Amino acid sequence: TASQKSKLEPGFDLLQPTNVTALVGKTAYLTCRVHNLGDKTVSWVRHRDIHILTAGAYTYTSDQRFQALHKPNTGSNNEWSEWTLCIKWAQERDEGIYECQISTSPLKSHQYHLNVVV
Amino acid sequence: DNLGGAFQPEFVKPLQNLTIPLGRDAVFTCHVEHLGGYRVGWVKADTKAIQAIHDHVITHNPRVSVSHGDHSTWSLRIKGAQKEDEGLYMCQINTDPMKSQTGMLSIEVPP
Repeated sequence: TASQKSKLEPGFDLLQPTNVTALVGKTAYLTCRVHNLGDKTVSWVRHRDIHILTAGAYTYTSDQRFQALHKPNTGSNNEWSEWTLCIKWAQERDEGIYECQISTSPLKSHQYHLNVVV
Repeated sequence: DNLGGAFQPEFVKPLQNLTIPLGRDAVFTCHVEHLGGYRVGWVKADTKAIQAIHDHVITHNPRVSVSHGDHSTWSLRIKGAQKEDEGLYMCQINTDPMKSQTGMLSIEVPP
């Protein structure tokens, strides 16, 4: 029922690959799939400098290569959505750890390792 | 917005470290000049938890709020600070490359 659904805590789909390899000069895609997001926000943070990249559909970083693509799915039984971090023209300096966050308190986070190869 | 302005945003003074008695409010203030169309973001650096961007609170910690006096003073307030709020806080500006500074919050627990 609706009241039962509203009590479900947000969480990550742990089956998504978290070790991603991209080609130099191509677009890298890091896909974060979350369940039962409710009124929370999904954000991406780069670990190297703790830089906020995106928050929801808003792009915070001024590096124009970064964007979060949102794919909603509000099916009746299994509500989930995907927040895919896209990095255009991937460079070797983009290698490292990226974190997908759900804005719960305490925070829920899921880490991705991006490799960029020639 | 003034993203292409002649002046780049700069921090005017360092973020202060805070030592607060348990249960009191903790307020970090980030002093910037020439912010233009750039935005101030707050992150708890040790957990990497995003706190707020501009005047929009991201975390669902109900004790966190933000305010700004004008375009040069940006504050993060933690109401009734708890032991778990202790740690390093970062103020960042979304320039390219990003600029940031950090301040430590310590909570004093009475013996």
